[in-house]
Amino acid sequence: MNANTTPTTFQTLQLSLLMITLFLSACGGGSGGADSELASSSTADTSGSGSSPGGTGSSSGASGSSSGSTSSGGTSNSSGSSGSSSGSGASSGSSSSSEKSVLRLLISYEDIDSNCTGQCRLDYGNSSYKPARFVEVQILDQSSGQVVDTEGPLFTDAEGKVAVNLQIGQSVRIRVVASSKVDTDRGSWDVSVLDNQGSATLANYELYSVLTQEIEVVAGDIDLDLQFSSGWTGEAYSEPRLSAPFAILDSMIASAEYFTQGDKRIDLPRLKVFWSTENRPDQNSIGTSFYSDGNLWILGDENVDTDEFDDHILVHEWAHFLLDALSRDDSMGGDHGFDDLLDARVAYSEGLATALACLVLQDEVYRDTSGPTQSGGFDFNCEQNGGFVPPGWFSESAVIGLIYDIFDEVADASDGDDLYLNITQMQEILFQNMVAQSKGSAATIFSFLAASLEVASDSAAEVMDLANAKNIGTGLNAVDVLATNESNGAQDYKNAQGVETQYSLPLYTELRVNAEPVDLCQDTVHGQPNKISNRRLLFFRIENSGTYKLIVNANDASEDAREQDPDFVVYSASNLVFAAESSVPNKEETEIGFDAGNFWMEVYDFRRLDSDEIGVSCQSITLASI
Amino acid sequence: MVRMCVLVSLLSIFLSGCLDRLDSGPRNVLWSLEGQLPSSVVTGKPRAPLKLAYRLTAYEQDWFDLNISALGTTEVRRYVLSTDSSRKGRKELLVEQFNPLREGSRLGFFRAERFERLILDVEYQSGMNTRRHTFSIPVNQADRTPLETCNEPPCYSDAEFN
Repeated sequence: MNANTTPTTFQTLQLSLLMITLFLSACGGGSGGADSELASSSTADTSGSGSSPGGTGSSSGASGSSSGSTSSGGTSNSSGSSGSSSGSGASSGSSSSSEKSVLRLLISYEDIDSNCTGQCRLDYGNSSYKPARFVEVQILDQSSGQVVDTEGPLFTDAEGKVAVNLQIGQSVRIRVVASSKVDTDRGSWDVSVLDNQGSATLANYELYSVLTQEIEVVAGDIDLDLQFSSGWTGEAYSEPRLSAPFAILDSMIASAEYFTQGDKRIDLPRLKVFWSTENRPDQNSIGTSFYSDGNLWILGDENVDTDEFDDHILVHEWAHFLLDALSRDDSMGGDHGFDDLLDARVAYSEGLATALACLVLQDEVYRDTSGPTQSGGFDFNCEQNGGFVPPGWFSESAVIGLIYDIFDEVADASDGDDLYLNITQMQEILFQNMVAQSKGSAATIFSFLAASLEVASDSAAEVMDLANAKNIGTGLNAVDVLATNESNGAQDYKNAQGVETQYSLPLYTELRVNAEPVDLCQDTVHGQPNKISNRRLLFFRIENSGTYKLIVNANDASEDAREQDPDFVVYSASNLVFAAESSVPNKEETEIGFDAGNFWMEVYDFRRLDSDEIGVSCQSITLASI
Repeated sequence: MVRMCVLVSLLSIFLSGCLDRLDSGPRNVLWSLEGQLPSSVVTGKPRAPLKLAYRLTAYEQDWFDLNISALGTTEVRRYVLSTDSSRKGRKELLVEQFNPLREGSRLGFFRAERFERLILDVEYQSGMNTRRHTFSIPVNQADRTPLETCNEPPCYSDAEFN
């Protein structure tokens, strides 16, 4: 790009909701042909100006990045900040159809902070405009409505900037799409935000996009400052909530960036995020913000519950996506909170997701705003972890505190935390060692700790000290994936009726082929269907491939004589092998062809889990070769 | 503040009187629905440390009552029940109740206009803090289906401006 710079004059156009400031440079250098340094790429390249996906906002280039375009093999080195660069070429003021101008865009969205000082709320007085980083931009020809060929999609850089050469005299509109597709040497992601209109049904929804007014390309460079507002006008969202999809998208990008700071390359599969102002927290809509099967669903119900600016929730749900894609996650989901005693798989999954939210955002206070004018909500400190329930492997708050302490950089004398495992170690724990663990166990805090002890063997004592502080692996020097010798099963913690669970330990029971039946019981003392002791875990090893019969028989050790509906599900690592969920009373049996290897299974009484009554169900389980 | 408390008290007395009349005379239940807040089938973000059971009953002559009981140990300070009857998001206060009973608290209200959901704001004690959380209870509304989908993605919402 020609570095000659000429004076500019300014003209500002104020649009009603989308504020576009149009700076027209006064035709000094004119413009030459398409500048080879201008961006056009099939995916955004976050490394264009020295920034990496791991950094934020450090790019200095005015233009978007390039790779595979006419030019420079992947990096942009256009000349600095907007207003200081111009196109090359000798024309001065005269325009012809063959001449081009440079259109430079600076795109930002309004972000609203949350605050829990006093009452939790979205703090509309503390909003700011942040760069819409790595988002897709299209140039539409006004007359044809077609996307102008820019040799591939355009994406903004880390500063929300992108530039493109356009024919002088051409009339265009700019479409900014809530979509980001990045591929660098550190990793890749592909995230889009779509309008599901309040429905929990999967369908081909529209991508959120903002379309500007018609812009006529004139001689000289053009700078456009596009600011997407939240739509908040003081008492309500009286204007379109333009910034919400971009705020959500940026949280997804920030989450991915955090993990690309490690030494291991991270490639994330495509993620669709469904958000709508009609996404309500009830069963006629999406129910809550959640992750499922590669998709995030985010609340947007004004005056009831909106989550587009609740960064911790966005990252929490993104973390579920991450674990599903690259690590292990065996949670059955379901309602959960910091005051629950949970199934070990749920406590781990939810606790890890919240801890990651605090770590990614470098903000230890998890906040969820809701209510009229978004002026309510609650918070939870990942560092201090509240005392809603006793600590242990069944407590998501204990898991949060433990994982946060392992990875936070701040030493905390109050809980003996002077340990810091870095992001590369986190990558190894989550994406390598846990994935490589025995297929005969589920992902729980124990499998996480076992992997942590492998990766950070030099810090094993510190890891166990932190675990012990949460009453996990108490008195043990190490833990294994099966929670062998775990002694804390919340046996002394009474529910509201004064009853304790008696069936929380051992976490796993071994099932041997052609051996005597294993007797197990479950209870619903602390609720159902995903709470502690609801489902019992077993593990077994198949030495010889073949067909085997698994039988689960209700037995008379149950607390009452009611009919059972025993079910079981068999897994290899996180892969479902077989689900035996018939409604046959008091018995569940099936023949399964197994390859040699390790397996784990869960056993439960569906009728017990489907009832609000507290009770105990017991079964005898056998595994026999055929 | 005092004035507000007096007004609230008067409102409570008025509503209690209304409910007494309901109690005293024959009343026919038209329909009812019950559930938990939050729904136990949903999964996702951590919920506030609140778990409630509710039963909404509709009577003849546009009378309703919502029975709420707290299932956990959290101490509830106040219920505020409202509804938004239109898609404009306009909320209308129906009834509020201070210091409700844990085991069951009845919020009665008269409502002639059709409503699609109730909105329940709950003020509760969380450690040293008072926190608020809001629930949505769907009423008279079928499952939401997408209004518009596109046949050949990608499609764009294209928010435009004048």
